[in-house]
Amino acid sequence: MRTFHLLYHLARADFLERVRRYSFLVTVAATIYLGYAVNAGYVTLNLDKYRGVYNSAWVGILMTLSTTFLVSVVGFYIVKNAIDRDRQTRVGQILAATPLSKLQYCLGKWLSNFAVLAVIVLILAAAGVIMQLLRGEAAHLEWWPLLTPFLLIALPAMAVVAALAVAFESISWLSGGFGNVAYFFLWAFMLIYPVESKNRNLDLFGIGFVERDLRAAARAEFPDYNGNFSLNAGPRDNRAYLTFVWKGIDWTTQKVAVRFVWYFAAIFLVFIAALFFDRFDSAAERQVRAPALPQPIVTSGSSQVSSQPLTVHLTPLPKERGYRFSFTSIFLAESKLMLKGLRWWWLAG
Amino acid sequence: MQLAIEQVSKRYKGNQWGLREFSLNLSSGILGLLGPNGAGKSTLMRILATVTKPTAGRVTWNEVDILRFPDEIRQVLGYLPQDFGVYPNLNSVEFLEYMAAVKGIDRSLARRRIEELLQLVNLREFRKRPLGGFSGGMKQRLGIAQALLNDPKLLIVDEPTAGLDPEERVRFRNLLSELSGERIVILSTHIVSDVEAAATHIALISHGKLLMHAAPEKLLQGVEGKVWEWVIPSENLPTVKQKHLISGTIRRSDGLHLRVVAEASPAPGAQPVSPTLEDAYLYFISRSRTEEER
Ligand SMILES: Nc1ncnc2c1ncn2[C@@H]1O[C@H](COP(=O)(O)OP(=O)(O)OP(=O)(O)O)[C@@H](O)[C@H]1O
Ligand SMILES: [Mg+2]
Repeated sequence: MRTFHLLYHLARADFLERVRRYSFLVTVAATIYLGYAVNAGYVTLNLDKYRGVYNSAWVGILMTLSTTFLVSVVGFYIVKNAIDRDRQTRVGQILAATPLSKLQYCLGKWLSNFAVLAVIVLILAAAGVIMQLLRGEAAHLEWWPLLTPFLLIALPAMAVVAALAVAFESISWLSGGFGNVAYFFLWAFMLIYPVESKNRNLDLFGIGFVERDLRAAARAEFPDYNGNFSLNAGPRDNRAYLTFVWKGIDWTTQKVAVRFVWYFAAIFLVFIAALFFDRFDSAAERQVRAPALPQPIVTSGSSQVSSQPLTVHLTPLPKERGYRFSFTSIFLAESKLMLKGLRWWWLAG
Repeated sequence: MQLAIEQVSKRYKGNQWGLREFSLNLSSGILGLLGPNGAGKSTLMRILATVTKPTAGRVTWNEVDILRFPDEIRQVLGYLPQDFGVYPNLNSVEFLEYMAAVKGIDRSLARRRIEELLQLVNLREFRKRPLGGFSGGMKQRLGIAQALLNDPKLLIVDEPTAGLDPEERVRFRNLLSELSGERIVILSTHIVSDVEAAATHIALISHGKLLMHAAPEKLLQGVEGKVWEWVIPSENLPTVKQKHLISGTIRRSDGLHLRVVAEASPAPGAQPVSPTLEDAYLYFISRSRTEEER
């Protein structure tokens, strides 16, 4: 009970701090745009020359796959700043002086990361509902086939992404630029591996899983189906596809269990993160020294301010020439600061 | 209640010593840590707050080694770091709720204490304002509140009065006197008058070493008869201050009234005056400097 209360507050403070930042608005806007792009037909799911009718099941799976792909990579970079924020704001050192354990801390950050990613998934789920209504190919909204892919495919994947973000942050050699690149390759691997190897278990994004299900459905419907399966993003595709009605994934207990195992994997990763976490006492002591607060004027009569009068010799500044020089150096310093603050994908977007 | 610091050293990267074989024994009372910039005050406090580990030495709290069992001290600790920071988008109630949860204070008790503390540090009217908009002094007061949340047995405050306006400083000094009792308070500052009234002990620290640990009266006795008031024409100041340690100057119609700290009368006209803690501080720090140069 005590632990839940603690984890709730750890995650809550972090989450609130995040979502009230301007950058979160940007994230939400980008998510809504992604929802729109899928809606507008810029992202499609095709099986050779066939596609599903835009009923709840099809919309759900299309939206979920788009979400899982994109958010698992972009989302990682969005949430991979939870521990760093505590360093930058210097809240970390206060936490370090409390009985808070490393594991509790990492779990709290994981929950906060997960909450942010879950909000993104939620927005895209809402976009799915809108999509089905706009398409009008199947009027009836069926919540189960529409939402289960989000709950059982996207969310467990996000839990792992959230945990990876904590782990990367707490392992010092993964916390910088190298880690960012490394994650991208890890992501690409996790995307390709289940499709290439047909390994049914190491399938974080559920892609192999969905693929098998859809293939089987298409094959049952169309004997000439060639087995192609593609999720496309790009210019709107105006080819005419033959349609079929897909009922959605048949969620057997076993399938659900396989997805739930990812939560355990996530928690395991958080344990690893806790092992490596330095509790804000980095050996390197990359400490941000706070600018000194202005000292107030002391007015107490009895003891004067210690005033060892100093003879100060300051080199006089040259009049004209220094000016342009300082402008360029300030400009350079400023742009360096700006670039430091932005992550590379921010610039790319 | 007993805090024992035994031969503690801290070496930072690049062979920079923050603290050197520092030993000190404390029981309940208020300890004022005084020392020049870079003396090692914050380093000592970070070690005691278990934020960083010493390179060598041992710290025990009620005989328990806090390096091996840090939770022993963390449970009873209130810590205000020198560079206290907050989440800019939370308000003070949210931030204190967060801290209370982290310190393991249960919900209803936390709610009550938060209200009381906001009252105590005079932040009640700003309770819903985002902390990013707080002034330096307001933030500092929130830092004091956060350190007091768990009614700490060991309160470590690093320059708590930095940035406070005169009125708030007086308020803090009064608070400090009220806080004493069955607890250890360690306070660092550059402003000697902050600890003058409340401190039961003063530790002078310089270059990572303990120069002196004594009651304020003892410190004052050490400079008794060594502080002089001397009136000079203001144009003589540059030459005088090269020879003497001056702890204060006031300009009056008859010239500059200097407060000089010296073993013997600096000039025939100088009058002995009773020393303040500030004089004592300057005397002992400058004496340690000259000893080091030798
Ligand atoms: N993170 C760090 N990395 C390297 N050296 C450090 C670090 N922190 C402190 N030091 C060094 O240790 C010494 C003591 O520093 P400390 O911050 O403890 O001094 P202080 O007495 O608190 O000074 P101030 O009055 O300016 O706050 C200084 O020489 C400082 O340069
Ligand atoms: Mg300091």
